[in-house]
Amino acid sequence: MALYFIITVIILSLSAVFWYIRERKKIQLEIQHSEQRFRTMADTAPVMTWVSQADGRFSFCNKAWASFTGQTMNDELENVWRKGIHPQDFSSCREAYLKALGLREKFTLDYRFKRADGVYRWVQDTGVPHFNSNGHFGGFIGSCVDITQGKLAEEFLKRDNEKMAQLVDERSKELVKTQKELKQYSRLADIGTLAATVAHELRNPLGVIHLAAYNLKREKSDLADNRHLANIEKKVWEGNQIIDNLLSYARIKIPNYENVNIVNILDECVISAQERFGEKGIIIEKKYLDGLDFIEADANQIREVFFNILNNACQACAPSGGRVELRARCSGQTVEVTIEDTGVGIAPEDIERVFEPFFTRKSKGTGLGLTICNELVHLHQGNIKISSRQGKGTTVTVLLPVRKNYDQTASG
Amino acid sequence: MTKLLLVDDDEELCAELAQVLEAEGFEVDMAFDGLRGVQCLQEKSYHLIILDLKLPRLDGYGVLKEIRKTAQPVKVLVLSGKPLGGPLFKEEKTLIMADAVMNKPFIVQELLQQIQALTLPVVEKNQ
Repeated sequence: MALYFIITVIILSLSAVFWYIRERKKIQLEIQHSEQRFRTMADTAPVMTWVSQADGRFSFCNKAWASFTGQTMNDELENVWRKGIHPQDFSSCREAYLKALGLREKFTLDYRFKRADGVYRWVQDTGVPHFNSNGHFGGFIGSCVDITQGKLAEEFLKRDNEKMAQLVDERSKELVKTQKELKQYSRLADIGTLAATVAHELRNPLGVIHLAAYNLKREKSDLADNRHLANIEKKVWEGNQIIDNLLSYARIKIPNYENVNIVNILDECVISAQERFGEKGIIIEKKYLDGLDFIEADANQIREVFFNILNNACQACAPSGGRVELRARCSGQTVEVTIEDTGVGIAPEDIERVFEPFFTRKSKGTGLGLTICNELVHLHQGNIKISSRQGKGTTVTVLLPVRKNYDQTASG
Repeated sequence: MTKLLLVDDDEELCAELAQVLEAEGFEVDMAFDGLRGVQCLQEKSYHLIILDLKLPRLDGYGVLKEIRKTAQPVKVLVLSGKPLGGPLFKEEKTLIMADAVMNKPFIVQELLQQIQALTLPVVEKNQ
């Protein structure tokens, strides 16, 4: 009986053991199948897939991953990953991965990853934590997508946006400048027309006053040195100068180009200024360097430019006399004329405004002299610069191209 | 005596200028508009006409054309209120018919020199 009982227990135990073994095998097989299914699925998927363990080490990568990196699954996966990440992205990726590992939470990383051919591609790597049936953390299952095209597009878009913003900014500035200039020009055109009309009308009465004074002097010999008559004649002359200035501004036109000897023009201007300079105790010095020759320019306009600048220099030095130096030289395709005076100078807050029409700090004058100079020099495709130290003097530099339509960028 | 005709609508200018010229020994007549100027020419012969361009009734260009239509060998000095020197406009091309052009305002001495230069050969011929 007891033996029967023992045998039964053994049989039952054995069958339990067999059952257990069979069930385990079944489970194992199922796990194997499941794993196999996962691998097949993972390998057929076009995205790169990987699996890591609870300690963060990689345990699996799919075919797509292997073929991207050019490594087999037998290789040290971690090393492949480490070495594949762009050095500039590595530390941020490592940090983010370790953080996600510690918190056991989903992560997404964008980084450059080296492809088998050595080219870095932008990838987006997303890892999702997986937990076993007991709720224990088992590592991550990740997928990795090539997003280079998107990144490039994004970069292009960003660059285009920046470029566009820059262009819009530039254009807006240009527009504001043009609007300002246009406003000034239309104001000037109106004033110019008015000034020209008034100036013409004033010419006649001034001419008559001049003639009347002449006749008075002629008829009455004792009036030859009359102070009042001398004043009348002087003021008529000044009035005419103002009219000349207004008219020359109103009739600024395209230069009438011819070959002109720049030295001759400068000499003429100096000679015509010399008398006034002498009267006011101003010494004028000329310094011409070699290489000065004929230039293509409108002689009248260029004469007017230097006449005006010398006139300003004279007025700046007038109170107590002074020195004016005129230097001219030719460098390459440009003639540079500098007129430096030891006069009263221009206040820093005024220097920006000297080319503005009707701007003047002189008690006499139309405020058009330098405006005309600036216009004429620019019509010749030249440049005019002015620098000054109050109480020390002013330097005006005029740059004129030797040949008209000279393209400085083309000739290098 | 050298005979001059002044054609200018500014009566005071004419009067003052006439005084200057008479003092220099010229015989001076005055006309204050273009038509009157042309009329003077038909009535009398002159050595030189000093002609303004902006004139009532007939402007200086018109007067100049009329003068050149006649057989009179009169010299013409144009006094222009508008500075000339650049390219000429259509009407201004008429000025080619003038013997000399001076811009206003003129300096008396320069004007006298110009008048003398223009009338000199005539004076010589008369002498």
